[in-house]
Order: sequence, then C-alpha cells, then structure tokens
Amino acid sequence: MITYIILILFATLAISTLVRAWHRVKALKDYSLLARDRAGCSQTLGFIGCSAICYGIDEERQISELLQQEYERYEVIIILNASQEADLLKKIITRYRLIQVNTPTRSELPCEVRHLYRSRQRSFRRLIVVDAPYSSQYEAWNVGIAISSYEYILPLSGNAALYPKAIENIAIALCTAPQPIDVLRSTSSPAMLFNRNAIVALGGLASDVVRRIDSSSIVPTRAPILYHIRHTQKLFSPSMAIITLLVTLLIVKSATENLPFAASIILTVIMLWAAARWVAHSAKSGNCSKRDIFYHFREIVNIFPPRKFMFW
Amino acid sequence: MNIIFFTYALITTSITFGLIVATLFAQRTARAEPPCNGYIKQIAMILSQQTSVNCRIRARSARNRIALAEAIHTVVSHTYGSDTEPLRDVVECNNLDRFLLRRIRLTRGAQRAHLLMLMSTLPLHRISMQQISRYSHSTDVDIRISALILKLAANPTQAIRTIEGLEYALSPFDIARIMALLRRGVLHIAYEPLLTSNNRNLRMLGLAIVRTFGIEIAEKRLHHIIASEKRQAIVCEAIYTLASLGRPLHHMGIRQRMEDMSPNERHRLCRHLSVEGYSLHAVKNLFTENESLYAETLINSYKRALAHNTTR
Repeated sequence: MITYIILILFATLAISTLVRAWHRVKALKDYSLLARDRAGCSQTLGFIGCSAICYGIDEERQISELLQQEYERYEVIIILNASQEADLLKKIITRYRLIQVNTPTRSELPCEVRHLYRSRQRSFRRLIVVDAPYSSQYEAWNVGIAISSYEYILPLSGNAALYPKAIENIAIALCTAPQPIDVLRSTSSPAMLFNRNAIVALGGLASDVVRRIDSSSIVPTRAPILYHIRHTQKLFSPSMAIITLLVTLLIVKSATENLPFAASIILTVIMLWAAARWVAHSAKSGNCSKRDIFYHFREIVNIFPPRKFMFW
Repeated sequence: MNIIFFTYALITTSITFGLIVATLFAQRTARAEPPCNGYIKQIAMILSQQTSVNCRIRARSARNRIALAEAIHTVVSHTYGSDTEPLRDVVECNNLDRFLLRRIRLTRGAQRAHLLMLMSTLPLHRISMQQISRYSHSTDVDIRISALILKLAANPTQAIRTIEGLEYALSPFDIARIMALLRRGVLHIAYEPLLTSNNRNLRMLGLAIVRTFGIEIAEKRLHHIIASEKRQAIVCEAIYTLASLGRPLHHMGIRQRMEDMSPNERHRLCRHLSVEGYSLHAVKNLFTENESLYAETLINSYKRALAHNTTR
C-alpha cells in the first residue's frame, strides 16, 4: 500500500514537472519567434520604463551582460557595500568611467546611501552604482527603489542573467495588459516585476510583499525574463537535499524488497533529469553546464506556486 | 501489482526516450545554419540587381517555402527604400501568399502571429480582406496586431479608415508595430489629419509619429490638444510627446492639465523630465514646492554634478 502511495506521489511530481517543462520550452520558443517580428518596435513603446536593481555582483562582466538589453527606457542599478567590496567597486569605477554624483536627499523609502556613481561615458548612461550598507537582499533592493527613475522595478541578484529582449517583453506585457499592474509574474522563469508606486506604498520590498498586494493586480506573463548563470553558489537548497536523501534511502531499501518499485522510482528520476536537460538545451543559455541543469531541475520540480517573494 | 509497475516503467521510459530525442534535435537545430540564409543571399542579389528577375528561386517543400518567406521578411524589414517589386515574381512562382494563408489556418498562437507577419511583408497579396478579418478579433494580442498589420500592408490606401474603424483602443505596442510599417515606407500617412481627428486611435498614432520623427513644428497642435482634449490619456501622451521633443513646458494650459493629474502621475512626469534632460528652471513652475525639491535632486543627479566631498 505504501509503495502505491509513493508511486502516486512520484507520478504526480513527474506529471507536474513535465507540464512545467513543456510550458517553459513553449514560452521560450514562442518568444524567440515573436522577437523577430517585434524587432525595431521597442524604441517607441509608450513611456514605460524599467529599473533593474541588482545586488551581489561578483565581477564587472555581469554588469556588461545586464546592460546588453536594447530597450531604451531601462536602467541598471548596482548596489554594493564598499566597506566589504572595495576592490570590486574600484574595478567597476575604472571599467565604466564612473564619477561620484549628488545623492538624492529626499526619497520615498528610508535608506542610507553613502555614494552614488554615474558614468561620464554616454554609452553607459544607463548604469548607476550605489554604495550603501545592507544586511539583506530586501534592504539592497529598497535602496535601489529609492534611487530608481522608472516606474517598474525588476529585482535581481548576482546569480541572475536576463534573456535577450527580456525588458522589451516586459514592456510589451505591461502596455498590452487590460488592467493596471502592480506585479508582473513570469510563469516561465523565476522573475517578478513590481510597480514602483505600489512597493513604495507598502513601505518597500519584503518577503511577504506579494501577499499584501491585491491578487487582481498580479498579472502572469509567459515571457521568459531571467535565468541563473553558471557559477552559482548553492547547488542544493536544504529541502532539495532532504528530498534527495530520502529518495536515495527509499530506493536502496526498496531495491532489496521490491525491484519493480525501485526501478519505477529510478526511471522517474531519470525522466525528470531528461526533462531538465531538454529545458536547458531549449533555453539556449550558452554553455549550459550540469549545474545549470540542476537549477532547471529545481525550478521545474517545484510544484508549489511562490507564496512569498523569495529570490534564490 | 507488477503489471502496474511495468506499465508505469514503460510509460516513463517512452517519455524519457522522447525527451532525449527532443534534446538531441534541439542541439542539432542550434548547430545547423538556418535554411533561410541561402535565400537571403539570393534575394539580396535580386534587389541589388546583380541577377535578373526570374523564377530561379524555387522552394518546393513546406519547410523551404517558410524559409523563403522568412528570408523575404528579413530583407524587407531591414532595408529601407528598396524596391520590392522584383520579388513579386518570386512570390508568384512559389505561390507563397496562398501557401501562408493555408498554414495560418492550421496553426495557433505565436506561430500563427508569426506567419501573419511574414505575409504582411510579401510584395504580393492575392487574398481578400474577409480571409484575414477572422483573425482581427482574436483574443491573442499578437495575432490581432499581426492581422491588423497585414490589413494595412495589403491595403495601404485605406489605412486611416481601417484604424478609425477599430473597435478596440490601440495599445502603445500596437502603435509601435504600425510605426514600423511607416518607417519601412509602406504607409504614407501625414500626421496633421491624425492630430486633428477626434478618433482616439488616430490621435495616439499622430502623437507617436510626431514623437518618433521629431516633428517640432507640431508643437502648436500639441498645445491645442492639451488645452482642448477631454481624455486624460491623450493629454498625458501629448505632454510626454512635448517633453520628448525637448520643447518648453511653461505653457499655462500644461500647468492647468497637470493639476488634474494624481500625485503619482506627477512624480512619474517629474522623473521623465529629469531623464529627458530638462533643467530645474524649465520645470520648476510646473510642480509644487515639495515636488520641485524632488525634481531638483533628481535633475542634479542626472546632470552628473560632482559631490562636494568627491573621492575621485
């Protein structure tokens, strides 16, 4: 009886994973197809703008990748703590020819900003670097929100990279929505875009901010926005590690008692791995290493919708 | 009991095998040269009149015909002012327009929208408007706008009447797609009749034309719209258009209409004017004292004024 229940659980997990994998690959292919038709349209998309706020950058190459978005009304705000990342800040200042500018003294969110940097070079005019102390990702993002110029906020971490045309797809989703949007949630990638005014009214970003927003103003979009880059730090979350350990113990135990059951479990795991590889290769995310596949695996296996705004 | 496990294992193995094949296919497709590249070279030679126009370009299979249509779409979308008449023979010999219409009926979603866009760039349309009208009422935004673009491209002389007769309000994305047609030289529309029209869609299109092509002599028309227009969305669009042109904003009519805006909208406009490079003197009279202070800090930051205690 227990084996049946476990098999049903694994079958449910497999079905939901396959559905998510299919949904993700279809979204990537559809948007890749539509991108060709939309070429040249993004420059005149009303006056919708997006500020991408990123913390946890390891090297300046990541900033270059974020700046590659072609959408006109887009800026990248990098939050750094100079007391801990002084060398990195110096490299970024040199690389992008930054100069220190006046820090806005009045802002809607309380935050402490030591220094603000903008570039002398016109090609990097969309880059803003903020030196501010922060103890959590939400504090870092709130600093960026206070500095931002545009009405939509895309919180990112140093582990995230944007798909080509991601900001353009966001802007199109925003301007074609029938109702005002406070949160735009991507169903094919772990990304959420927030309306700046809504976040300021709630006092800033926090882990429970999604719960406090009216659900009718949370709009899903199939547009793929971001993916996690190669050198990530955490391979397994604690819950994933526990699940993996339990599955391994289960397989080892049942292999001695019920070989067909053990084979079914092993085949299910192999199928999920194949689904993750299929998603990873369809994503065309460059040199996709096995660690990226692990993250695709983790994303598509997660059958519970996000109840909190968590960024990993 | 073993039958259940055996059936489950069989299904899982089949799906795994399918996923592996799909992954290998995705890898192969990523490595292969797109089939339309060869057609692009031949079309470029025809347009540059290096070869005589005849039915030398033939596409017999469905895959090749789509590749040929994509090649025509790529070349026509990326060239401006070239005479596409030589391509009529190519379209006629390969029966591309009728082939695409048949494919459009069989496909759904993004694929259908893409095929409609391919058809809009063909220089020959032997189809009736009734055949496309069914797609104009689609709930899919991309299909609807692609059908509209096809209608406009097939019948450019009736463009204004077609846009005027639309039952829905054009979004900024729809207008951007129509502007792409204008930039290609397919539609010959003057901006003045659009700005004087009472139709919302035509007015928004007129404002987009003024903004995109930087028509500064339309400033008086814009002031007239701001003073007389009752629809707030169009008034906001006109103010933003004036700001994009870099025109003075101290007109009494603008200040009066700005008093009707909500505080969030005024903040948004304030940020937009800072991004557009307006000086504090130019915007001071538009806002309240608090908003002027906010504008001052933003503008000073954007003007890259150096901080007093600069470290570099």
